Order: sequence, then C-alpha cells, then structure tokens
Amino acid sequence: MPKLVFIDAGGREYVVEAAIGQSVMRAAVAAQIPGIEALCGGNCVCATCHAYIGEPWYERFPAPDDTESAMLECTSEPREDSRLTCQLPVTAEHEGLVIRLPASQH
Amino acid sequence: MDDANAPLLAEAEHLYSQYDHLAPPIGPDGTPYAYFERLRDVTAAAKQPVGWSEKHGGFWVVTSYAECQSIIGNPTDFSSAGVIFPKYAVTEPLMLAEQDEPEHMRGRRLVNLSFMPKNVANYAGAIKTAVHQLMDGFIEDGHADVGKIIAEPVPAIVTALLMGLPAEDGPLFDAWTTACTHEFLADPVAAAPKIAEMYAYFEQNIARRKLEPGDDVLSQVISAKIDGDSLTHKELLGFSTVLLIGGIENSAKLIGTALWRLAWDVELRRRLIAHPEWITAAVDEFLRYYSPGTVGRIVTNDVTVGGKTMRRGQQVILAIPVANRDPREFPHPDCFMIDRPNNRHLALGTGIHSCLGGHLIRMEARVVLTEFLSRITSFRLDSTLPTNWISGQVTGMSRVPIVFEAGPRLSSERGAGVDAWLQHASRP
Ligand code: HEM
Repeated sequence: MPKLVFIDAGGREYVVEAAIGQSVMRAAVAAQIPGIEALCGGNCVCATCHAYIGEPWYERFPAPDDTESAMLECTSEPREDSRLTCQLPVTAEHEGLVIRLPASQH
Repeated sequence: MDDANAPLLAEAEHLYSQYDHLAPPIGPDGTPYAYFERLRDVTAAAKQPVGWSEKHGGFWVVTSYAECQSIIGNPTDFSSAGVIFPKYAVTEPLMLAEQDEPEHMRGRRLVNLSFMPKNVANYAGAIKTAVHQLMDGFIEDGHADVGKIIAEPVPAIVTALLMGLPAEDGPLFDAWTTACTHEFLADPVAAAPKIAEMYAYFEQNIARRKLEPGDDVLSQVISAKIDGDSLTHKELLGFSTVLLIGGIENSAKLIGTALWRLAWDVELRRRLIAHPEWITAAVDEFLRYYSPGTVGRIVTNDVTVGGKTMRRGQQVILAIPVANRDPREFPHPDCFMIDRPNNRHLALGTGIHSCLGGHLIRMEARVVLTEFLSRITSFRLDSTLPTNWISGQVTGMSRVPIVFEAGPRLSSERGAGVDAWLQHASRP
C-alpha cells in the first residue's frame, strides 16, 4: 500500500495509504481529505478533484487525454502540473507521491 | 424484526405510503423540515431506508444517504428517464437530465467546458452589478420581499446572460418555468400556450445566435465540436429548455431560503458579515441543509435496494432533502455548520449526471450573499407579511419579506433587466 502525501493550500499535510490500482481521488475521498470533492465520482465530468502533481511525480503517470486537458485549462487556477486526480491510478512506483491541493475547486 | 419493533415498522410504512414530495406537511416554521426529520428518524430507527408511497400511482421512496448515493451512482439499473416525476410539460426528454448513455455523455461533453470554473467566473462581474442594481431599487424603502426581488431575478438574469438574451426578458423565463413545472400539473390547458411561446422564442434565439455568435454559453455550445460532432438544432432547443428548467428555479430557491435563514439567524449572519470568506463554505451548507432538488429514476433491471425488490419500470424518488440530513453521513445533521468538514451532500447530485451548473450556482450564490450582506447588515423577517415555502420537485422559500435599516442607493443607473424585474416583482 503506497503512502500518498496530500498538502492543502494552507500547508497542512495528510498522509494516506492507497491501494494499488485505486485512483488518487478515491484514496483521498476514502481518507476524507478536505479539498478533493469529486462530485462526479471519477467520470471526468466535474473537475472538482483538481490537484498539482509536481516533479518528479508528474512524469510517472500517463499523460492526460484530450478531455482531461481541456477541463484542466478551465479550472480556477490551472498550472503546468495540474491533473484531475480521478485520472491517476496508483502503482507501486508512487510510494511517497506528493499531491498539492488548490485553494478551491470552484 | 421482533414484535417490539412492529409498531415502529408500521409507522415507517405508513409514513412512506403517504409520502408526497409535491405536498409535504409544512410545520410552524414555514418549512417541511420537521416532517423530513421525523421521516428520517422513524425510517432509520425501523431500518427501512426504502419504502413504497401510494401517491401518484405508486413509487419507491429512498431516504438514506447511502442508498441514494448508490442508486444515483448506478445508471445501469436506474434510468434518468424518471428524473422528473410526475413529468413536466416538455415534449422532448430534458436534455442531459433525462438522457441515458451513450446520448447523455455525448451531449454532456459538448456543453461541459462552458460550465467549468474559468468560464463561469466571467459572469461574476455582471451578477454583482445586477445584485446592486436590484438592491438600489428598494434600499431606500427599508422593506422588501427579497424572495421576489433578489432570489427570483438573479438566476433568470444569469440564464439570460448565458443564452445571450436581453436581461429584460428575465420575467418571461420566470413565467415559462412556472408554466412547465407547476402550472402544467395543476392546469395543463392554461399552461400550453405559454410553453408553445417558450419554444418559439428559443427557436428564434438559436437561429439568431447561429448568424451572430456572441461570447455567451449558447454561442459556445452552438460551435462546440468533438471529433467533428456537434449538437443538432433539436438538441440546442433541448439545451435551452434544460437551462431554464434546471437552472432557474433551483437557484432561486437556494438563494431565497438562504436569505430567509439569514433574516432570523442573527448569529449566522454576524459570522458571515465578519468573515465574507466563509460564505463559500456556507453556500454548500445551505445546499445540504435546505436541498432545493429531489430527483427520480426509473428501474431498468429488477434490483434489491435496502431490502426491497424494485421491479423494472417502477418509479423511484430519491428524497435528497432527507438523505442530506442522514446522521450516518453528517454528524449532527440538524446543525447548520458553516465549517462542516467533508460536506459531501447530494444537493447537486453525484456521478455522471452531477449538476452541470454546480460551479455556476456556487459562484452565483456566493456573489449574491456577499454583496447583499455588504449593504444590508441588519434585517429581520417582516412579521406582518407571510413567507411562502414552495413544494414540488424543487423546493424552498419563495417569499421572504424583510424590514431593514434603509440605506443610500449606489447609483442612479439601472439596467433594463432590473427595471423589468422591479415591475414584475410588484405583481401580487
Ligand atoms: C441551487 C441550484 C441547483 C441545484 C440544487 C441543482 C441540482 C441538480 C441536481 C440534484 C442534479 C442531478 C440530477 C440527477 O442526478 O438526475 C442536477 C443536474 C443538472 N443541473 Fe443542476 N442544480 C442547480 C443549478 C443549476 C444551474 C444554475 C444549471 C444551469 C445553468 C443547472 C443545470 C443542470 C443540468 C443541465 C443538469 C443535468 C446534468 C446531466 O444530467 O448531465 N443546474 N442539478
């Protein structure tokens, strides 16, 4: 079970264990991490599970598809390393993954 | 269940059998919440999250959070064809809301980006201006029905902006929405010409937008393409209708009920005035606490939920206002907590059908409450006038008469849309 580290906009850290194959979003919701709303439940419809995946982690996920890329641009604070966490499956190589949360999903 | 629990079970069954989302009993506070809380407590104690109502020809009622969530999250066994029950007066299935896969997701993708945070943020300035102009219309009087003159106009003005329509047509939208949703059920003959007028108006507007695109959402949606695919003319008509039916009434009830609560909850008001940055979270708590919408589904495969076997073709109603007060999901569910952690309410749905306007309404309600409280800080309900709770598939306070300390107008300018609304609001 890889450990994931969520850091909210205020700098608070939350360490969460994720199952292999689970999405980063599901791990956050199961651990009740504030700031990941995930209204649509992982269907890439709502853009309320947005987060920043800095180096070196960004490269360790498959690149976003067209739907996700288009949605990321329209989040309230998009960055180069923005991702929708429902599209990020956790694998063994994600031990210690750091996920930074935006100030708001809206 | 043992004998000791038999009376409880009988009471739960009785409550379910009489459940009618169009006419719940209204309590002394002017809302149906005393009844909703009792329905929740009895059905939870009897361990009956699902029951059968005898009303409207019979339908299943789901009151618990977990079961509501699992049904909404299961489009395989539950069709969205039954979102509205009994049906509204629209000739076509409501676009998105009443569609199933694969049609639903095709349409959703084509319109979805226009409703993302960056795009809806473009409307914040116009909403703020509209709120101040509406307030200028009554701020010198010291009294107003803010249900009629804030909560109703703002969502209609926003819808006009989204569709590139003149804001002064807002009052028409109000009449058409009422015709489709409430009037049709009571008097279909009187409602019919208004509904025909609505379709004709939308036809004309789409034709105009195709010739002269603007930067509004309708123009974006007309030109949206995914892999060469775009919305047909008929779908654009459906999109216009769903914006009207899905967008205006819900939003008006959310804002109206919030203003009603703020009129008597001095403590809540004091905290939000001192900390406007908390209004964002408070909007989600208003959504949970007074959920405006109830949604339905039709069973497509026989399935057992909460110990009850639902048969293909049966109607299900998800009692969202009750489920959002489920103590198993929300500790101290009847406490209004601005800073409620993990407020995963179902007021905007969940899953693939989750509300298209979710980002918009959160921004809109935040702007309205922030601007309102920045100018009227001291107010109370006018006890000489009645409030009015509207029941139906969309519910909330529609009449919110208040008295307050009069203040100065900000501007003598007034948009045409606002004038039309001030006139419309003076109707009986
Ligand atoms: C307080 C305001 C609102 C509430 C409480 C609300 C509630 C909801 C709910 C519960 C659903 C899910 C229905 C289901 O699962 O069957 C939904 C869907 C929808 N809402 Fe909203 N809504 C609000 C505002 C808006 C606004 C402002 C718009 C448009 C501008 C809008 C457009 C829609 C549409 C098109 C759908 C269907 C989405 C789909 O099926 O993919 N809503 N809304």
